Amino acid sequence: MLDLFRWLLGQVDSNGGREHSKDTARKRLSVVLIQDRLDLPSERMDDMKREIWEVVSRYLVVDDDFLEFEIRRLDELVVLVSNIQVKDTSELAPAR
Amino acid sequence: MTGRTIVITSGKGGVGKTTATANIGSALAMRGKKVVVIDTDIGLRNLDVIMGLENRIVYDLVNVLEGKCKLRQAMIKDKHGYELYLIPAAQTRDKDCIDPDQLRDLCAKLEDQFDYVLMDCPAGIEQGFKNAVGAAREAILVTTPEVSAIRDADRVIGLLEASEIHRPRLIINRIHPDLVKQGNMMDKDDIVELLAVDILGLVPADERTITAANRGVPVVHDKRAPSGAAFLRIAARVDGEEVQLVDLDERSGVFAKLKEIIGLDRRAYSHA
Repeated sequence: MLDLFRWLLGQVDSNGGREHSKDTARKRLSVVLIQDRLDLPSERMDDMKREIWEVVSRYLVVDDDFLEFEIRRLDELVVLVSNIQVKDTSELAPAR
Repeated sequence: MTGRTIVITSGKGGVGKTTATANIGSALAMRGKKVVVIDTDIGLRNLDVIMGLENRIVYDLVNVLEGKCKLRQAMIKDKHGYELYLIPAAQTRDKDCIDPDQLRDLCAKLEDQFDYVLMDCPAGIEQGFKNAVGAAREAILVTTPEVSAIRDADRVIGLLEASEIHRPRLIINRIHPDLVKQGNMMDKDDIVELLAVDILGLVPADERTITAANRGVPVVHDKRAPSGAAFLRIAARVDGEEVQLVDLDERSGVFAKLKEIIGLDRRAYSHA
């Protein structure tokens, strides 16, 4: 009954749990716009991402999977934001 | 008089630049301002038909710039009795026949006589775009809530910046509130976040825009058109009045529709 009510109010998506198309659009655009703004093809982005990860992993034990890497517009600035998860803080400085 | 020269631009074609120019120009004139609108889309003129002035054209923008006629002769007075004039584009010439410096001088001259000089910019980012942007001091950017239009708008923001036009203000045109509600159309917040610009106004998709274009009467003259009301609010903001953004969603409910039908919903017009 509650579900029906929600459905009537339009709070439940009718596409069976799939992401709303506007969210897909927004995500696609945010990637495209950054690439347009920087004039940097996506392979080059991937290369940079990999190299930065390699450098950080020389000093810290980091998660292989958790890596956020994006270029955002922050008011007038274009900034590179990267979050890399440090996996084990007891091993902050691994032997080289 | 020191008027403001504003270019209405978008990058992508077909998002409503010409409609926006005609309506903002008309609405500013209805507010008692002296306004001239210039069609800078040489070779593909359309502002004249949207305003219903196509039968009155004798001289055009290129004639003025080439000195073939006096400025006054190329200015067509709008039909609705306000201080609104159109300088039409040439239809049989191309964009390269305009000298950007001459267009800039013309706008500077018009600023002495008018409160507002609005330029309808051609689509694209080539010479025609450069001519219009080079002559303007401010810009209004028009987009629709679609990936292609937004991408092009972002490109144009960069180009405007490069030509010293900072902080363009954005009109999001043809919003379908029902699609937004379903999560199938990007909303104002999504677009503002992506483009990082200030919002000038939101215009709902409205069949009345189509009938208005058919008739050659800008939709701001249609008292029952939601898009017309939106353009009246936009013109008020351009003119420096503080007008709240109206949530288009509110107006799509059953009650809003009913109120609109029986004429109770005058809220939109009272702002402008």
